[in-house]
Amino acid sequence: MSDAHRNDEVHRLLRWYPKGWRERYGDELAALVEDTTGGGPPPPALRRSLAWSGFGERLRSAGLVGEPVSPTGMGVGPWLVGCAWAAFVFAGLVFAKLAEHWDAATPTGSHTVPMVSFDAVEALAVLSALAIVVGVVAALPALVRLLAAGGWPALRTRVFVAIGLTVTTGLAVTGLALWAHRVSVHADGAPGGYQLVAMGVALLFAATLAGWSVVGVAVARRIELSPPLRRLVISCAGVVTLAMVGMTAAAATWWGALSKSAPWFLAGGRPGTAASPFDPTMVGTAVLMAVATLVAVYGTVQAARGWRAAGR
Amino acid sequence: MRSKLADVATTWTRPNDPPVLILTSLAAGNKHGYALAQDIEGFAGVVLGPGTLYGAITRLEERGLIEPVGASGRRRPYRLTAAGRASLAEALEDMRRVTDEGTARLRTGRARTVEPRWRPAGGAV
Repeated sequence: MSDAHRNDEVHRLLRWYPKGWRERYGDELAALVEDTTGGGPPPPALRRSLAWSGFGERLRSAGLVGEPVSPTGMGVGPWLVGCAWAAFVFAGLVFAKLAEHWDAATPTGSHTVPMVSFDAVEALAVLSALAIVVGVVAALPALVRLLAAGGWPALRTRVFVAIGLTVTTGLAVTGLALWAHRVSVHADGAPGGYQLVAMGVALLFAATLAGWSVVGVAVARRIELSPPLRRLVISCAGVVTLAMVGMTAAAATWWGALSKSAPWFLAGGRPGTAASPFDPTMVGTAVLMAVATLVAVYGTVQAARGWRAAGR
Repeated sequence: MRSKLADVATTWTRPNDPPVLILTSLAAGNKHGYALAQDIEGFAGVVLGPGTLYGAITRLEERGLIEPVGASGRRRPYRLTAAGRASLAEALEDMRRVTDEGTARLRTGRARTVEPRWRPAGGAV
């Protein structure tokens, strides 16, 4: 293997690490890899180790793991909660669509538990949305200060990527909606091609959420809040997280109640027919809710740790 | 109240934690990455991969416990700072307490009467 080829290979491995880290330690790590391998090609175990470490550094540099990036900054915890909430909203919309007219399709005597749990989901959704609005309004002046102080160039690329993804998703959703009007749904569901495209649009939606999450994290790492405002934002994150925990539990209760009293509704069948309550869309929705809730809990813990590290 | 430095030191609870190994190695003189890995394997029998080693070096430098020597280069050595030396001493002292206690318990079969070392966060020490 030539020196140039070997160097290329080592530098390819270093791409797992964030740019700032590479600029500081990249050459030293490359030299260490060369010394360790005696000039030979890096073995698979070493490649895996570098990939794992580099990925860890990326998470750390984004403030998602490890110690808070700045003890005086807002930290990414509240933003993580915001991102998780956005994903939860997506799951909530699907849940609302799935649950449409559930009361008309279930026996009257079995309404109490699903009714209470469904109402709880709605009430907690309103509460979480209010907490998000309060948190965003509290952080907005700091964002304006950041932009006024010349912070835009550091955010520009991420914002443009997020906007691009949003526009693409918007166009894809519009196209899908137009197609949906023409698709004739048979007893065995929509055509395979339509379902495939719908899945692609869902992935685009997820990518858009991820794009804005990256923007949010980048902003969160740069803005500074006064202690009272920081406390307010972290409190809002806590309220949103508790609401998400409550909504997940209430949605699960609703699902469980309908599984017993009206499984045909969940499967989209005729009343009284035998059916499995494990409709794939409902299962996917529940999983997304649970994952988003876990991320929110993690974000709140990170926020609380940041607060503690700042000695408040 | 315990110092921030003490808090850092007490996060290393095992003698084979990479930061402890690196600080211990640097206590005997400045070394670059490969020399550190070789030395650590020699005195502790622990093989630190390049990713793990540089992850720990990054954290130690961020905390001001080690620092690079000289201008930038591909095989730049590192050295202990005063804070790093104090932090290593605290970590080793904590380990020594556990070692002494464990040895005594093995010998006598019961706990020694010792001053509590650990206090809840925020408590007076």
